[in-house]
Amino acid sequence: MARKLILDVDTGTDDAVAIMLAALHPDLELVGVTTVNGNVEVQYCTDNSLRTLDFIGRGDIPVFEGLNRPLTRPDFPIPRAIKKSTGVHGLELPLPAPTSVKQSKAAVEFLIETYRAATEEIVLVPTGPLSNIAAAIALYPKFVDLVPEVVLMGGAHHHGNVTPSAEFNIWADPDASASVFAAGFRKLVCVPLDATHEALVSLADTAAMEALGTPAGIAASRFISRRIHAYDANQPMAERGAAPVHDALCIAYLVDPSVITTDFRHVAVETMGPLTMGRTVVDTNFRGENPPNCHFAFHADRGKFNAMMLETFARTA
Amino acid sequence: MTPVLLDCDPGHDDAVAMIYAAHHMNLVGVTTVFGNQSIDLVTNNALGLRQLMQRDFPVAKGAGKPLVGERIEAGVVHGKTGLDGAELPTPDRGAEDMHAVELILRTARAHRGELVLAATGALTNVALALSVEPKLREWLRGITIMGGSTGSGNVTQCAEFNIYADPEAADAVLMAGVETWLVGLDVTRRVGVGAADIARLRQGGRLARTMGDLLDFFLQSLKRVQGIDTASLHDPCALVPFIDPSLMEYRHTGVRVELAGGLTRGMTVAELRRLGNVPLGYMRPSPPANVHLAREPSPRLLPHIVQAMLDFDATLT
Repeated sequence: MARKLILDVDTGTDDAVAIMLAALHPDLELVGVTTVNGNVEVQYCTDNSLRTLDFIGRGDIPVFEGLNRPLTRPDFPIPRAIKKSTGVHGLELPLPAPTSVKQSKAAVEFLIETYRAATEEIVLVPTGPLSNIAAAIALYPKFVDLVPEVVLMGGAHHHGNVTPSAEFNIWADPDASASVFAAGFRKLVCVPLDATHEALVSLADTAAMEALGTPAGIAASRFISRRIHAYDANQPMAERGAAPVHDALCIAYLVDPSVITTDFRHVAVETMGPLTMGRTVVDTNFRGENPPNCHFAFHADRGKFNAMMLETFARTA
Repeated sequence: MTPVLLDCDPGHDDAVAMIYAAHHMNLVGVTTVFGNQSIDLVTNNALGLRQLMQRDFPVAKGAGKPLVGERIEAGVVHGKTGLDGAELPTPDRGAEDMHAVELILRTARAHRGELVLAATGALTNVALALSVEPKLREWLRGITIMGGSTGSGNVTQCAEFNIYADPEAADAVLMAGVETWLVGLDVTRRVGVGAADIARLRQGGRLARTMGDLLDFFLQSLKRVQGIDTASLHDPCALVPFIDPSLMEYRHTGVRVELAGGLTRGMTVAELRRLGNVPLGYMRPSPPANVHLAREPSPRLLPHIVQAMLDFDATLT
């Protein structure tokens, strides 16, 4: 039986790859997509999610628009692409405009209603700032008990990306992030930069995706090549011509947990330090007083991740 | 030989640093600072070690508490004297009749442009000296520090003991504009002495046997407290740039100390991102490079430190 999930995204090139992997993998059933301000402003996230789903023939999957700003600190931060429309994401993904339209219901309402009504387990996979999830918890504290597992992309232990010590998704709404980590979810899996920077996708990998000739192969190749060129220019990896595709790694984990290696530790989010705002503080050596609450991924299996994407993107809806 | 003044809180690994410095450099003075134990105990230990080493460099007692706030309790790994595990010879003379800061200034004035200031405890004395005499910046050839960590701390989840003991002093020293080297826990944890080397030391003369006994105590405490089977020789790693730079790889980068974080106070925040030529709007720029940060110890480093203790021992009567 396919595993059900809801993706909470800020699409975003790597979110788009995550959407395609979740929508096409035979072991997964993507129940819905919710969007949030992050990589780009939320209306672009929604539009990009719709065009991605339409392009691969999964316009049947509903998309709900979520928060258009962080839960707190409303002018913090700017979306990543508001000033420069080039770079890793761009405002609009390079696909035809969508024919599907977003649902009228707000993302947070959809999340709460869906989990209240659920008779089967639905994994929640946030791959953008955690504003929607924190809002759902604020509106309906029992939400925490209804979600069997949260698998989120965000955070960093060894070094960040937006600042030396923080990763964008967690930093972008630090108070929301802190509340999600502290909420007490039954199972919380965090896929940080430490893992995603080990699961690089190269130009050879994107060429193989393109050669599939399928809509997903073509779209993935387009999105990821764009990422690779942007990474080479603005935050080169140790290996040139390769880039992380952070968000898709969460989806790969749902299908095959061995694609990442996790340690069970206490993780909290710093919300006060001027140099460390939005840092995921991982109690690696059990120096804090709190019991572990998070399976934090320090490593990833690049080969397995790429093989899974190639196999899945060969499929058509 | 390069003149060096060691500002320390002996402490088992400080004792190793003292011998390593005396063997390979011109150790012209030792100043003490609170840390591994109270200022009186660590000063006694420094005097006992000088006696064991049969040397006559001056020893001066320094700060007993940090610039701001109160002294934090040291862990148990160094024992109740700060240097448990062996009986040191009774010193035949005491500390200088001057504060550590005065000895630092006098020594730096006497070795203008040449003196290396090595700090392996809290940075209180060093920060005070730089405040009291602004010209000290020009007199020093460099400052080299054991402290901090990228990623995980030891006293808290984020912070290493020496930096956490006086974060304000540490940040002031890193920002003082003196050429500075820093080696953190993430590196020194990989320079651990084990049972075989300790057995070798115990077959030497009095100094080597004493160091063997001290390090055995240190190793047994660490085994008990942290469950590890090597004793990290943190402090001698600070001397490497002036003894044999080929024993360590460094990266010149920006390092600051978080002073106000809720979870992260005392964390050394190091720039370890690789930023390309095309800046991204959302990525915060790198702080100015102010530190040579140790990244990778050579496998030859630990044997080099152990051999220095044996060779120094062989020079004694």
